[in-house]
Amino acid sequence: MQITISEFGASGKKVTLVGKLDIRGAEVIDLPLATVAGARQSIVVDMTAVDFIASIGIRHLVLAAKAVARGDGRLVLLNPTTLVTEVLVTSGLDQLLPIVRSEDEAVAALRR
Amino acid sequence: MSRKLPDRPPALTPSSTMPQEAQREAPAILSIMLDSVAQGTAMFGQDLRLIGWNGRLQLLLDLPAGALSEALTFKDFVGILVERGSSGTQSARAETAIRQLTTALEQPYVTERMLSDGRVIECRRHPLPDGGLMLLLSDVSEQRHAEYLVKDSERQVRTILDRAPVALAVIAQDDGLLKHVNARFRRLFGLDKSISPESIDLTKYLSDEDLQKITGVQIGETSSDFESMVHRSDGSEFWALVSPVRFVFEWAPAILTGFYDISDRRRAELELRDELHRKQAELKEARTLQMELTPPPLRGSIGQRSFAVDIAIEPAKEVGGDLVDYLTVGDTLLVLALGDVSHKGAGAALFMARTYSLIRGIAARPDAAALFRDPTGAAALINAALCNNNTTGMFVTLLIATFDTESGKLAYVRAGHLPPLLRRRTGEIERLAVLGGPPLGLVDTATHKSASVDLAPGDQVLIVTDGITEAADASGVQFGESRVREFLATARPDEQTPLARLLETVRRFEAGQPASDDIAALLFAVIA
Repeated sequence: MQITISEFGASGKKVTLVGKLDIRGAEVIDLPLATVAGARQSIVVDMTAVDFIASIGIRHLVLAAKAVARGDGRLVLLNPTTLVTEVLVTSGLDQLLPIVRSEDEAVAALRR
Repeated sequence: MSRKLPDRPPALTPSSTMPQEAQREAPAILSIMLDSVAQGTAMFGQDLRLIGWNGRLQLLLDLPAGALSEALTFKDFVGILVERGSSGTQSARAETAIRQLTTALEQPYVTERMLSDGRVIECRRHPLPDGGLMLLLSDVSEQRHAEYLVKDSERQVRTILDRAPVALAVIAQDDGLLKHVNARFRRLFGLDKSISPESIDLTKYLSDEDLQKITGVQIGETSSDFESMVHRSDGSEFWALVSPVRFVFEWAPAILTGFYDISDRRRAELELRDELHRKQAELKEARTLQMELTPPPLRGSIGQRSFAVDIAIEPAKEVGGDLVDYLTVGDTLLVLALGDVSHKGAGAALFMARTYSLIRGIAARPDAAALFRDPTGAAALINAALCNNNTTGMFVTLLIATFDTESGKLAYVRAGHLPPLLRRRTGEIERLAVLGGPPLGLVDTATHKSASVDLAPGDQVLIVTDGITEAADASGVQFGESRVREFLATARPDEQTPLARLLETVRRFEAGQPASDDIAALLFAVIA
């Protein structure tokens, strides 16, 4: 699992994840994601290159979403794969972790 | 130049039994022989004056021409000899040398003298039978230098041993006796300085087996280190890493043995091992307790309705976060629950136990039938309780299904859990896919909705955790829902423990790969 953090728009952050978001992947993203979320800026998590997500990975995303929400921000997932989307939708988490399919859509989602 | 010995000395006069011609040539032959020997020779008469010497003598003492003459007394010669010495004639040592060489002349005497050029000359004084003396001088420099080098080398070895930052002992190969120990060895073994190495009996400190390991070490052996308990004479003990290597000490085969005090490390290891055993025992107990939360498979009936519930649960670690339960509520309801906490191990196990207690607690309430008849009521209470003070973000996906034995209706709420599979008696398999809401413990404001389905005798409902669908083979291919469906297609309501067959299929699929997640499944079959 690799995590890259960059600016997104005027006041947001883009977190790009690459690899498996399993137990090991979750350990890798734990601190950096929590740090970004702690700043309470809106976050776009680019999930394009995440080919697997385990419940522990979902937990970190949910914690980040909750932290961002406390500062009136939002966290959206950009373009997750079919498999990851299915897990999120099946788990009923797509409300808490909204899925967008493009950066434009992400910008619009974060404005809401 | 030199006065040749054979010219006069009676002892060197040719024998009277020799032929005339030989007698004539004997002095010359003896002269050649004496000049050819490696020793310098000088002979003094009864009056202790020099009567003869060979050329080698002059060479040895590096004497100038004319230094030796027949008028020279033995004492004068000794003066010359001592003068050639490195300390000259003025030192106390020189005076001692002169005194020793010139007294008790009737006795043989041997001494050595180092010349100023570093050569060492051995001087042997022999009294002659008829009075007089003979001196034999030999250059023993090479021999003495070699001996000196050996002694110096041994001294250096001892210095190195004594200064080494580790306890060292030199043990003789033949008899196992100690030849040398350094100060660190004495300190480590609690031995006084006055005790000589030879008197230290290693059998009192080390076991026979360990001593044999030391004395049995072979030349070039690289893995001869071992750990040993050493018993001091005062009754105390310590752990040592013993490191023996073959060695030559004072020209004899020996074993240089290092003793590293590893008591602290051993103590830490033992404490760690004890701690590990304690934790393992605790986890084993926790596993037993957790497994006891899971009820056994059931074949029973409520009213006119008979049914079977088969259960399987296997934590990936000692304890796990999967939950399987069933219970009766009121006179007509059978509640089935299967959950999966969002992690593994002890934390997940506690969260699982918390969820289990909440379900059981709700079942004990007077309004339990209402809360489970439409299981959204129970789900809302569980969610609220799990969200309370949940800073870790841990959550549980939970499927609560309530079978009304009177109506035959199965009402279920799917809180983020995998959809159950319903196999109709006719063989059709369908997903109970209606989503009730997110997992429990995540969003305190979440509301869940339920759905229901009518069941008939012969119908079976299978609920699994993702530990089954996501079990992977060596190449990473997952077991998947399709294989779960294949199993369900073959399950029969009258089968005793069909889920054991499912678990066996999963394990076979994993082909020895370690289980990466907890596994749980519940199969409910309406029999009549």
